[in-house]
Amino acid sequence: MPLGAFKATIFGAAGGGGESGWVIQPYSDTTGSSPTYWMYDMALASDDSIWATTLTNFSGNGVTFHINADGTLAADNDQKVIDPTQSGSTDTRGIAVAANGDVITVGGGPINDGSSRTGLLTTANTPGTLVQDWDNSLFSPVGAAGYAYQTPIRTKGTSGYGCWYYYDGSTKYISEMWRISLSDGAEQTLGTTDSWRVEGSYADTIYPVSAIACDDASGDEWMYIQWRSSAHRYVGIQGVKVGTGTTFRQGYLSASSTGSVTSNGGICEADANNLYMTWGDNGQGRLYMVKVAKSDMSIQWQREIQIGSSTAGPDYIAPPVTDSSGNVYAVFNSRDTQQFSSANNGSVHWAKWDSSGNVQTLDGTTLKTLTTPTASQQAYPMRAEISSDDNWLYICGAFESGNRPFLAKLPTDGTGTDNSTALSGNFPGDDLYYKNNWTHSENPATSVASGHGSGGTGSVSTYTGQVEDHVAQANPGIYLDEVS
Amino acid sequence: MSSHVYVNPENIVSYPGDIQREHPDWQVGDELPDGWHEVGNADCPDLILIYPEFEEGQDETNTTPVKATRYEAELSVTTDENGVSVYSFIWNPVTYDIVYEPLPHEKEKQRKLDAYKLRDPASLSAVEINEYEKLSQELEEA
Repeated sequence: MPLGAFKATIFGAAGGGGESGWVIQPYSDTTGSSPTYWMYDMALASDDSIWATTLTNFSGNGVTFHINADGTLAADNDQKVIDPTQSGSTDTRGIAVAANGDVITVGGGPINDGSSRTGLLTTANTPGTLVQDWDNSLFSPVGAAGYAYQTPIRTKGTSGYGCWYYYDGSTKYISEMWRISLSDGAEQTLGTTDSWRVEGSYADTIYPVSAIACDDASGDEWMYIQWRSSAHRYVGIQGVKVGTGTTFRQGYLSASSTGSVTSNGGICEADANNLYMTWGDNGQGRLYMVKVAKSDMSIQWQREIQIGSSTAGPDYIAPPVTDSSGNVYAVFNSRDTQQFSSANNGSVHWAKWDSSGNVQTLDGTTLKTLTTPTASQQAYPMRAEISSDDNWLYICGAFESGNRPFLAKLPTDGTGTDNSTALSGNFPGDDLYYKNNWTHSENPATSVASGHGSGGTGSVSTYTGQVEDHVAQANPGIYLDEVS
Repeated sequence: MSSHVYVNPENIVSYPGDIQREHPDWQVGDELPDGWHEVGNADCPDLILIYPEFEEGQDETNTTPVKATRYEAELSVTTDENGVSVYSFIWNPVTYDIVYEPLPHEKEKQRKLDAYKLRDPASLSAVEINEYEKLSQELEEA
C-alpha cells in the first residue's frame, strides 16, 4: 500500500481544524533506489487536488501523480505511466485539467506517422480510472522533430492551447503555437491556419515557455505565448486572436546586458485588459514582474526583486498566478551565498503584489523562501497555482539539482516560516527550511520593450493511437514535511 | 508599439500603471499630475545581429551571428527655451558576444545519464540499460 494511505495517521489529519501546509516528494520506485526526477508541471482540479507530472521515472517514461488537497495520494489509478506505442520513452512536460474534469497530458516522445521522429504525445484521462478518453500525437508535417518545453499547455472551454519548438531543418529553431480539440486531440484552427510561429535568427532558438488563452475586453478569444531567445537576452509575447489573422508580437529586454541570458518565466491573465509576465536576468539574481496591456503589449507597470549575494540564476521562474482579489504571485529561484557558503546553493522564493504593483508584506516580510542548507543543491520552481479559496499557494519543481520532484502547499498569508528549524516530517536527503529572512530588495524595474523575432504561420498534424493503454505506477508514495 | 514612459516626482522611470497607482482615474492622454513628466524617444531600437565576414557567394542566413548590439536607455534631462525640463531617452549601443546554450532537452538527457552513472550497474534493469545506452549514443551524436 502506498505510504500516502498512512499519511493522515502519521502526521495528523491536515485540514481537520487548523489546516497546515506541506511539502511532499512523490515517487514511484520500482527498483528500491532513490525516488527521482523533476516535477515539470501541475494543474489544480476543482476540488483543489493537484495533478502533476514528472519528466520521467526510472522506467524511462513520463508519469502522472494525483495528490489530494491534504497531501495524501489520490486514487491508485491516477498514478499513471505514459508509455508510447512506438519503441522509445516519453518525457511528460505538461498537464492541464479540462472543464469536464478530464486530465490532459503533453510530452515528447516517438510518434508514428510513417517516419521516425520526435513529436508530442497527448492524452486525455478520466480521473479515477486507467482509461484514456483518447490518445494522440502532434507533429510537424515538414518532417522536423518537435519538442515541448516548459509549462506548455492550458485549456479553455473545449480546446487545449499549447506551444512547442522545432528545428526547421536548415537554419533555426522556431516556437509554434497550436490548438487542439479536447474531445479527440485533433488539431484545430488557431488564427486562420493550424499554427502561428515565432522565429529567431540562425542558431537563435526561440523557446516557448508558457501558453494561455483568455478573452479580451470585447469578449474575443486570444491565445498568448511567452518565449525567450537563447542568445539575445530577450523575452517576448505573441498573441493570436482565435479565428482571425490578428497577431501581436513584442519583445522585452532585461535591464542589464551583463546577464548571460534571460531566464524562463511565464504569462497569465491579469484582467480583461492586461496580462502579467515574469522573467529574469540569469546571473543577476533579478526577477521581473511586468503588467502589460493586451491591446498593444505596452508596459503598464513593472517591478523587480533583487536577491542579495547572488552568484547565478534565477534559472527558472514559474508563470505568475493571480487570486480572486487580483493579487499576483511570482515564484522563482536564486543561487547565492547569503545564508549558505556554497555559491551554487539554490532556493525557491515567492512574493505577492496587488494589481497596482504594491508588493505585499506578509507576516512581516515580502519574500518567502523554501531552501535546503545542503551545499550545491539547486532548487527550481516550474509552476504555481492558487487554491480556490485563495488561502494556499501551490508550487511544483525540483530540489537537489533536479533529482527530487516536489510539490509545496504554502499559506498565502505568509505564515508557516521558521528561520531556524527544519520542517518536520520525513522528507529524505535534505532538511527543508521555510524562511522569511532572505536578503532582497523590491524596486521599480527597468526592462524595455523592443522588437525581436518574426512571425509566421504553419501547420501541425495529428495521428491517433500513439500511447499504450495506461498502467498504474508501481509502488507510488510520498514523503511529507509539514508547514505550520 | 508606441511606448508610454514617464518619470515620477522622484525622477524614477515609470509607466501608466505607476501613475494610476497614485491617481486611479488618470488615463493615457490625460494631463499629467503635478511632478510627472513624459519621456520622449521612448521606443527602443531593434537588436542588431553582427555576422562574421562572408565569403563571396556565401549564404549569410546560414552563418551564425557572432555578436549582437542592443541599446540601453539613459535618461536625459534638458531645458527648452521656455525653461521647461524635457525628459527623453538616449539609447546607448552595447555590443556583446553571443553565447549559445545547449538545448534544454539535451541538458536534461545529460542529467538523466548522470543519474544512471551514480547507480550500481548491477541494479539496472534491461529497460534501464537500454535507455542508458540510447542516451549515451544520442548525446555523443549531439
